[in-house]
Amino acid sequence: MTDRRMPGQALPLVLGTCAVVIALLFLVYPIGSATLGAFLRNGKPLAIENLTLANFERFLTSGSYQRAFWHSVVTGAASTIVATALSLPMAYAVARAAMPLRSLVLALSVLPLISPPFIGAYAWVILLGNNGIISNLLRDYVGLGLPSIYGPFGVTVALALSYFPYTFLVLQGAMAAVDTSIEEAATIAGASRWRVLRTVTFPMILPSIAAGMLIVFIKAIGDFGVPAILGGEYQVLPTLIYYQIHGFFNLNAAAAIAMVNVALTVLALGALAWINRTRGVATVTGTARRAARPLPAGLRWSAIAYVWLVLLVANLPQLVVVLYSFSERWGDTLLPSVYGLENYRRVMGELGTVVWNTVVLAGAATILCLAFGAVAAHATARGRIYGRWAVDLIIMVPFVLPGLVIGVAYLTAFNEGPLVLTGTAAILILAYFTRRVAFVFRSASAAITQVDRRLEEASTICGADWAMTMRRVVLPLIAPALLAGGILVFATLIGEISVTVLLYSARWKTITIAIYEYLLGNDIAKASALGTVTIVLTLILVAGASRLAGRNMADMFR
Amino acid sequence: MSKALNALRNAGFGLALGLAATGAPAWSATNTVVIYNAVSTKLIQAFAEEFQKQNPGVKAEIISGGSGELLTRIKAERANPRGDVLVGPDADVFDAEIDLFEAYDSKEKAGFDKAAVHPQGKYYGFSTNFQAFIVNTKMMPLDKAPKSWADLAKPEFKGKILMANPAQSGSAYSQMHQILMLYGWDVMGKIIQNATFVPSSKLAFQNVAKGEIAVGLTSEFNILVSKLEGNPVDFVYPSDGTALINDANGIIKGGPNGENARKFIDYVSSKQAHTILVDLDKRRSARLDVAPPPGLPDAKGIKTFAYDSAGAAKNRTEELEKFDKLFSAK
Repeated sequence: MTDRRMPGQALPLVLGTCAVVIALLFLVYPIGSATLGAFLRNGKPLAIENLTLANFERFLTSGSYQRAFWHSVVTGAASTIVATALSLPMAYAVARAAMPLRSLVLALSVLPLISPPFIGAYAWVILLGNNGIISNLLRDYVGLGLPSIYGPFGVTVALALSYFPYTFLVLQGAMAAVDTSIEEAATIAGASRWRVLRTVTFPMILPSIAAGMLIVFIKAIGDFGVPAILGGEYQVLPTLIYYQIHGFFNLNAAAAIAMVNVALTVLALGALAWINRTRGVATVTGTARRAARPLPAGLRWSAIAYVWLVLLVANLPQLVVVLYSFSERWGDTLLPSVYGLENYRRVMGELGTVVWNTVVLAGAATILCLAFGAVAAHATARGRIYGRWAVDLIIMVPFVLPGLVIGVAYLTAFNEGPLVLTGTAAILILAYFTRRVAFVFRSASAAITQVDRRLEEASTICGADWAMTMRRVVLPLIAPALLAGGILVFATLIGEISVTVLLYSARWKTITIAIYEYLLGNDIAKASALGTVTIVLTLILVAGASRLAGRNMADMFR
Repeated sequence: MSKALNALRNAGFGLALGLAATGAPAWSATNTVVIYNAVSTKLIQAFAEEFQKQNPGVKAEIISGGSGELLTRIKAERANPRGDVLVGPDADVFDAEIDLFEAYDSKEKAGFDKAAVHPQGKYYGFSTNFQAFIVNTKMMPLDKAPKSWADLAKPEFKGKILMANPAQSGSAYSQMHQILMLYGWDVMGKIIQNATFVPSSKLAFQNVAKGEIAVGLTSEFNILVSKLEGNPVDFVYPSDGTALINDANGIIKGGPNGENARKFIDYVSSKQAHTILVDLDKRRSARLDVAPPPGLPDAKGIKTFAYDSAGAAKNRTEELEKFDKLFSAK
């Protein structure tokens, strides 16, 4: 198809212009106005004389605001560290230990991210609460009393187990992309396996570790469900945001609290940029993929056992959801007393429609994220545009802001005026894109910083134009990272609730809305039936995607 | 070019077509009523079916969410409203943003107690509920359980009471306001020391049912439903009196289908709809002519006092600030 390529530099210009227009219209405009809302009193219109810092005053005057701030910082940092510690060995094992059932492992590792809203966190109570299944088993048969899960300890563990997939997937992608010949060279030079890991592999994946940690930190300080249910009186910033919206309907105050989250993230982003600048190394210098040196059998089997243990523990809430979905009566007994399919029968009627709607909306948003994220990542990484940090910020801020704030931004921006989108599928797709493009952007950026730019120059010198260089050189090299990002976008969109609840119309009801409707009536069993469908759907799609791609990732884009 | 890239390109093209096809706004459909709904699926679907039967040709479109989210949505859409009616939030929620709602003189007005209807008909009562204590009888026999709001302040109940945070839950705020009406900050301050405050009002009864903690403060119908599910729980109505809290339905000002909105409010306020409400959700109806569900005690046997909603609306911020101060100092 090379005869049909665009002449000269037209294609990058067209793509670049599209990206800029999309960014201005669907990122900068709605998010900018939402951000300004933090500086207005509730109900006041946007005008210079109305700007105020009143919404931030409580951080200076209220004890519970200050405590919530520190609680967010502490649990956010602690859960990020735990999640990274869990996923580093896992990523290494999956990338290097010839893992059996690799696609299933990848799919199961995504599952903790999509635990259905509220049911997922409540499952920890059912498992580990004072009267939980595991607590009771341990008490009765082992004589071991578990410490209470309510408080910072429970919040940290649950957050780490919910969000470790982010670091795991990013790291796994990065390790798969590392040129193993460098490790081989180190080994031949006499370095031990541990030394190779420490001095060769680790520095090469450092940008990806930092990128993954950043995502976990942002998600952890933004999570509402876990601290709401396991925190007890241990309040964090998202529980304060919730109270401004649900208790006072004060979106301006909520936006102000969210801005504190944004500030924390900007600090983390700065740290990330610093790591990339001081430690970043170009490591991918060719497409030659050699099998890594196999692990010795003993090490390999312990690695496999470790991976499955982490997957099991992290997916316990999902198991509870499945169990709940088959229960017709679960009163005061350890396990349900009556099992059956009644819950599924009751949700059958609307199942097809809501699943289809979810897949269409999430799929469209994922494609948009992949296209935009890849272009933006390449442009910023190669420094062809000014204000790299601005692009970073434009993409990261909506990722940090709570869904409700984004939903309101979209509603007010596109409910009247020249571009009316409310009630359409487009408004959901664009809002999803706004909230999730950071996944693709970050993982693609991390991958591109690993690619030596001389590869692209060599391609150009050989006579290839921009499109050809992208397709034959850059895309194959960052394909694993793009795929990891795409999977994350799609899987987490299947469970998206906070934006959807503000923007959906009767025609575009999604599966999480159907779950939410059952939860409104406290019908946890039927909500769990739909939750189980979500879990199975994600498993199939993710396993399928990674099977398709995993066989020969580098060949995909030839 | 590889198959993967081709597939990706085709997907993108198909998507563009699909988007173009689905671009038409949903409300341009025909004769509809758009319901912003905060109650359970089975209840709203039962209403929608019956309403459509009685009004042939009108289609009920349901948008569900928590009351905070729905009110946020209505506020954000204010310039060009997309919803017609709001079903199910606490009457307090309507009062907090009463300008968003439209006055309507429904033919069903006579069926209600005067207190359950907004003076200009901006909302009509729906269910009406007593606040009570849910007690896990396996963890705490009923005769050892707290009997009154005042009992909650006793040292023996320290660490045994679960309450939603009044700053985060409308029903918890009304519970606190009742305690303040009866006893003031002296007793409330002790309860703050004794109780555990959680951000979600659902936990206040779910965690008691699951045996996590012995006593919770919640609406009576949550206790009945939990009991019917087979949990070892029972009711305690505070002997020093409890107040009725209403939830309500109202018309969104400037909604796209005003005529159908009024029809729907007439229907959802009717005796028939309220009978469905009692049957399905086990709540007391705000109508005078609909009996409470079996399993809830007769209202005559419960000591009550009038809830001071005006005072609640006026002092809310001040009371919550005081709560925040005592709670942070805990």
